[in-house]
Amino acid sequence: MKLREWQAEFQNLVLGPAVSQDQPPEDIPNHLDFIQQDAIRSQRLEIYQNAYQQRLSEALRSNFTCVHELLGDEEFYQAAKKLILYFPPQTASIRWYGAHFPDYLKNHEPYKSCPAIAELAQFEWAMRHAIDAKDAERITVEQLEKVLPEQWANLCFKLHPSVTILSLKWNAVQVWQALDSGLPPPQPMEAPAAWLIYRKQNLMNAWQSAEPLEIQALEFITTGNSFGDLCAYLLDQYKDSQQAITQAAVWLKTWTEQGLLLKSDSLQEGG
Amino acid sequence: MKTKALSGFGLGLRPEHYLDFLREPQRVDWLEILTDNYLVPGGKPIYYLDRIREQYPMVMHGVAMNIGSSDPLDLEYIHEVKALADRVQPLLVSDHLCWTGVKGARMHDLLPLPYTEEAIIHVADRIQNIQDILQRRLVIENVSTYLQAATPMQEWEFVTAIVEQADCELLLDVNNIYVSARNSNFDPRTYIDTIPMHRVRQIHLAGHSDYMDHCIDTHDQPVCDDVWELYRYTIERAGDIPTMIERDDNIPPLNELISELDIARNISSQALLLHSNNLGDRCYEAS
Ligand SMILES: [Fe+2]
Repeated sequence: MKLREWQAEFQNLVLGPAVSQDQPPEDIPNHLDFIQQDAIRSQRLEIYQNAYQQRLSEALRSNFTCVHELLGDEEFYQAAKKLILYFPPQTASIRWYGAHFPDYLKNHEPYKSCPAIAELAQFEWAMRHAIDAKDAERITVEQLEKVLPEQWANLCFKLHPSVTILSLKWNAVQVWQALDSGLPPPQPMEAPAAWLIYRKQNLMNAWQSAEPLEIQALEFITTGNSFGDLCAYLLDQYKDSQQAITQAAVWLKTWTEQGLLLKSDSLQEGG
Repeated sequence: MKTKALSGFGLGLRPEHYLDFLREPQRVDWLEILTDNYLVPGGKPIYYLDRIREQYPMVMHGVAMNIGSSDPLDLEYIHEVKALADRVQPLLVSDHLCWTGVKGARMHDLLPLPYTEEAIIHVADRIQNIQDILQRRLVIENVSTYLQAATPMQEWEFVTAIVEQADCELLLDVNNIYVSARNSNFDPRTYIDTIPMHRVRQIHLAGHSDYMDHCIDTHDQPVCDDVWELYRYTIERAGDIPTMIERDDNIPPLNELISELDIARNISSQALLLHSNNLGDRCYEAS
């Protein structure tokens, strides 16, 4: 048998129906000609089958500790098993395994009927992302203070790569906070809010809720629109130009202090 | 940044011990990083990696090159490893003599190869391609196996043929030899006696789980007596080889691992006396 064919068959056995040592040995075909006979052969195949399931479940468990905590061992491993079947790993590094877990929980029963679970998973994946997202130089309040009046209108910004903006309908973050501190979680309930999850300058993760308009403004100014554009955008909301400019300036300072914004090309050094 | 030849006794770097290594100097000569844990864009892992690298020589150890697969080489992955190696400047770069998936699947497990001529040619050729990209010799590690295809070849003959043909180097995992020997019924000493020791750059020691009629390579407990004895046997025959302990699960405080490393230091220095005697005998016989 050619190597390619042998490997494909071996992989099929590992991904195929679970074997057990109680199974009649003739049920485990030996077309791959293993030296291990009968019951030993199924015992060994079971080791590879378990290793595959366990390594992936373990990766999920470490990325979604609070979902695991909420569902409990048994239910979590059932969910993991199904995810592995629906979304087998596709990346060389196991670090990224779990990207589909929030979606899976959102769309499949029994998790679907409690949407807070999928939202909790979404939050944990955003936290996981914040830990090792790309580093990038953030803009500082000192740099903003040096901006000349005529430069302000054209200032542009980008979001720090660690930032995730989540719009959640449920109290998933409160559930997460309780579980993360070892407390019993609150009952799932509707509590619509927008959340910012990001890595601070000191490498610690941060999360906070924000008003919908603030989130809209943040998304607006970090997608190619200038500070001047933002003021015009807010004018539509406030109908008062001074109030719009003041609000834009306050938010810009807050976002800068939080480390959400990157230095833009339009902001010249010492300008 | 320290860069000298690899020597002495090392440990696998684990996030649980980051702060121990930064707080004060530890009795560890070098550290092995898990390549795949640092193929991330940035943040905490990279920050600690850079800081600890300033203090310790490092080697890189990966799990996902899929060296033995009949799928095309994942060139993007190998270039990522190269980029990390450019950053870390490791004393060596290793991965496993196995395959981790075929037809695009990523099994995230170290799967066994059939010991055939076809596999030798295929794998040796891929190792050469990888070495061309990395611009350095690749170090390949023997894996623990649970199933073995019946072929006229033994694992040690297969390993020897590949490293000779690919002109690469070896990371000898003494625990994996022991586990495979138990699972496939061979004498692990024959393995040690046969492989080309001059190509061995590094030794791994680890714990496994013993189920009497088979063993599983779990890396979650201390090295067992049988593996220590096999390590002694290896050093008596091969001489001084940089050695480390791998612990991937159930990770104890750093000082416990350093104490376990002291056992390796002791066994190695005792075995080296015998090794020099062996050499002496041979010189005497030759004269
Ligand atoms: Fe190893």
